[in-house]
Amino acid sequence: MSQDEALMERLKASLWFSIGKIVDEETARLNTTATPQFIGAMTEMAWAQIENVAQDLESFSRHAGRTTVTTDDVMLITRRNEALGEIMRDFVDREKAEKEVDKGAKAKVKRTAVKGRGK
Amino acid sequence: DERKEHIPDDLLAVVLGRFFRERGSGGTRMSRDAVRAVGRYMDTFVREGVARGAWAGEERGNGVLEVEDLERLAPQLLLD
Repeated sequence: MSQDEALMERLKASLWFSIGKIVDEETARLNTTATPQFIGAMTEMAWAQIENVAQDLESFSRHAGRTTVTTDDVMLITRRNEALGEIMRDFVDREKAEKEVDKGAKAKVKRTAVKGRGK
Repeated sequence: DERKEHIPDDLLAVVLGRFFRERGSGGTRMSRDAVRAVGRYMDTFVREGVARGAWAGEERGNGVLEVEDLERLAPQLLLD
């Protein structure tokens, strides 16, 4: 196994661990259980989906003349599913709003701290 | 909302990065916000897969999510 392949296997194992936790949480909510094989299959699917998403995102950002993928590119991923698009739009907007609040709070702290110096 | 488990942003950022065709300096990068957004997308993907599998399990009668459920619902999940 090449170093690259070994790294990918370790990453996939980490993903498997995280997905296992999500599946456990979700099946508990639904009052059911999932076999380890289900979690393994789910991980394979998620891995393949991440690969598709990565390449789509890269294409979208390049198409827009950028080398950095932004949330605009991620929103394009959901263009075929209206419900999913709404979920993503809500999430992106909330994250943006939280960022603004954080920025405002930090600026406030900075201003009051500077005020305190000198006599 | 009791949904506390998520795919870690750092893990996702590394995996996404390894799948970019343009890598290294001058290659494709991602904003932190974009990584978080993909995280939300993937969390939804996994939970939707479980929900559809649970529905199929109920139909079958034993309620346990098995690989066969995923094999059947996979094509539609990927397209959606």
